[in-house]
Amino acid sequence: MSQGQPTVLILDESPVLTLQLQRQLMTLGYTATSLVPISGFHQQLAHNSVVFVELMLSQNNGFQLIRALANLPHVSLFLLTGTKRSTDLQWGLCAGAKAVLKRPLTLAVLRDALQSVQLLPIPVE
Amino acid sequence: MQTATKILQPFLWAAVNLLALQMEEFLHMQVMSIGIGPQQKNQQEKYQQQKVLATLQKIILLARFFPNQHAIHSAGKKLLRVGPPLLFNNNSGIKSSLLHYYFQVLLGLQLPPVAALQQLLHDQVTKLEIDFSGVASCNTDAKNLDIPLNATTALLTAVMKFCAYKVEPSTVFMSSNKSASQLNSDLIALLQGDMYYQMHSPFADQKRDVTTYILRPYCDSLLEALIENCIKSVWSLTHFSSSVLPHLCNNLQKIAQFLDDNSMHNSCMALEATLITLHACNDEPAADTLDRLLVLIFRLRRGEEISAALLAWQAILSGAEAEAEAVEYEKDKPRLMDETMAAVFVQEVQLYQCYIQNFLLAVSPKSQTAAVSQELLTWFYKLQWISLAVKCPQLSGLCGCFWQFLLQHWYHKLALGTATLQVLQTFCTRLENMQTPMENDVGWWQLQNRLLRLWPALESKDEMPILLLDKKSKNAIYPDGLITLARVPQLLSGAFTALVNANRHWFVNYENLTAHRIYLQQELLLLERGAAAMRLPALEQLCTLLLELHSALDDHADAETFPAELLWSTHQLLLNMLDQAAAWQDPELDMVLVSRLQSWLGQTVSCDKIQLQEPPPLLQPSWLQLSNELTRQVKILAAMMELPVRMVLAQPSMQLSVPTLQLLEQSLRPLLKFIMLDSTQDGNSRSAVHKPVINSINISVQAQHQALVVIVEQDSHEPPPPRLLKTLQHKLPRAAGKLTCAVNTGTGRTFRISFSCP
Repeated sequence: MSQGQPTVLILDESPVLTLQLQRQLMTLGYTATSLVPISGFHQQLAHNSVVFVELMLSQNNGFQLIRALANLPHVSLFLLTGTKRSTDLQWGLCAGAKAVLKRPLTLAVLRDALQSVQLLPIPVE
Repeated sequence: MQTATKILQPFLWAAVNLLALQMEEFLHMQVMSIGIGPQQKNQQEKYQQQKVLATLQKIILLARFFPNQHAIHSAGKKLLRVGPPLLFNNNSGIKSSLLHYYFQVLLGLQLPPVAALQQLLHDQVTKLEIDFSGVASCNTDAKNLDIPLNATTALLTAVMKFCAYKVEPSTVFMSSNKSASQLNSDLIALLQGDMYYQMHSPFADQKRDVTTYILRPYCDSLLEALIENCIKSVWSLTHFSSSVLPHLCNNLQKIAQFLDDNSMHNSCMALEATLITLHACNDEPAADTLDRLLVLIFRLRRGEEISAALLAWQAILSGAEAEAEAVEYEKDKPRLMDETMAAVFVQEVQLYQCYIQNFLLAVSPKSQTAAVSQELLTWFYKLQWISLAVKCPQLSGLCGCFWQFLLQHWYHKLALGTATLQVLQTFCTRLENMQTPMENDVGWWQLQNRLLRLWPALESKDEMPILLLDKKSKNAIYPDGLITLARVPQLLSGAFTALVNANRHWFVNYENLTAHRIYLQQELLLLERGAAAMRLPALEQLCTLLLELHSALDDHADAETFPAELLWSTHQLLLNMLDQAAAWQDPELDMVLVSRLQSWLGQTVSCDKIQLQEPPPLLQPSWLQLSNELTRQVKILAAMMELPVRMVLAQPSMQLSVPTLQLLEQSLRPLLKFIMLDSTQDGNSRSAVHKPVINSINISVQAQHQALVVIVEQDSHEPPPPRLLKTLQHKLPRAAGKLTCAVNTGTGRTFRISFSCP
């Protein structure tokens, strides 16, 4: 991982999905941390500039978390959803997410999302 | 293609005749349009064009029911391109080219008739000709234009009745020895659907997708017949293939033919190819073949794109893919059997399995039913995606299906029945016995098949029209503010600019809020209706309270009594609940905050009650006094009748004199009393039809042609009987003009009283 690369926090209650995303981000050169359960995540925010939030949580939901974190200027928020509802995109952006990513996540989608907020250098051809 | 056309020829004849009649009417109107004198043109032109355009739409829609490559189908597309420009151009050269076009289409067809239908059409055509000739001998009065339209409507109704008698969709594909009338019934059903659409649909002018809204029920019936056929067959691939396969393939071809611009087309063609592959396959079919086939048809029936899944299956059936997969599996074995991931997966699955088991244990032993919980929904959502993460697509598909199934039940407030609980129990047992994530359990298809057959048939409810938007609102993109229930969430998710962007500063004092209040109120009204439509009572209740709070703010404009903190807290609660609703969770009210809100509102009501004991005389009334007085009257009646009512009086743009205000008061008092006493629909009845519990009454005053018109809109009920309306008229002052009442599809009933300006 290059120096100064943003660190990533994953807020998802599922250990499998968290592990999967961690591995994908690792492939892209990131170090990602996660919290299961996610209750103590506020303390981690200072160390992370990218946060991936799952929409479906047993307590609260992704929209509420994103809205609560949206006023943090140093954090880019991404909402993850597998509901296939078109409203998730509208409401997620409205709540303050930089992008709403649909499951199943692919490396290409992740790369594009991170590049879109200039968190990943676009490779020179 | 040729066979299909031959089979359908008798019916095509009927449709051609209808098309001819529509075109005849279109031409007739076109001629009449030219015949209108210049002095009448401006007044009648718009009316004329609208009528002709409606007929043109019918022609185009009828044409779409013919197969893609049929002359009429392409003629319909052509007419769509040339029709509207023709309509607005009276050039005789263009008119003659249209005539040419009309005859070209009709002369190109030689189709045998059906005797009964022919007789029926003949009678109707004769009647139509008489009507048309009657119109031709009269002046081109606007009223006379209704005669041919009415005659055409009568014709359509007659044919529709004829069709209703003939339609037997469920039997169409069950037998190989079908009569000619049975063969025709599917297309007749199509035409019938179109007629209903044209004559009864409130969405006729909303540019709805014809494929989705008209063809879909027809295709559904075909697919249901397909499913029934598969289920009822004693399953043996040989028997299935030899006796039923040609019919099923024919069926699928027909669906695909009608859905040329739809994703279902590809799926149908892939399904047909899969059936043929199954037939051609010499091997003994796998144990899960029927389940797998049925699951895919069910998914197609629900509108999912399944061609990719079918193509993958075909590749496996043909053997090539299986070999490739085996090699791949060996090569990737270390990666796929990642111990860390497998261990994490098994651990997580066990957790969900325990949760589901506990849910099942909590089922009432007496009723054997259970309500869907949010937790259950979340577990299946998670299971769907974690199964996919460890490459168990069958389990993932089943869990995704479970999730959708449970979501349907949760949304429609349905309890899970015994059969569903049994499926859930079987699923739970299988999960418990699952040792590794790589296990390829054929039982998942069987379970999914069982589950899909228990699917609640409630999707049609999503198409019911809902009044959501005020006609005057700038958001009103649909006529009469109507929208289908299924589209409500999508509309709502993008409709709350003010509510979402509001910040604390807006609510600090009365002056700050004034700039934004009207937008907040508009969005709250929309949200209240949306919450009622989506059956979210907690959210609806909070909106009602917030609207009441906003309407009471004018009396608390000073810094001491302005409820800044209460407004901000309630707004935050609202956003929180909106987030929950957007995530399809049950929004939860903060009862402490609601109590505070009600308590504050209760204080303002008590002030009103004190004033009620000594009502101010309206000898020299102002608009504000009149408004307060009428509001108080409605509040008293609402309290007595225990009927929640919200009345809004829009401030008129013109200055009203004292005698006018007195006249308004004398007219509105009896009218409002009547409206209140006539409001028998309680909250439950209103909720049942997706309306907000609270009744809305909107009053506005407009100046029209030297007269003043008072408009009172109420969002419910039918018009009062003429006798009652007459009695009510007598209670109005003599200076008041005629009282009328009209009913709009969306907005309920509208009373109008006109006055000559005193």
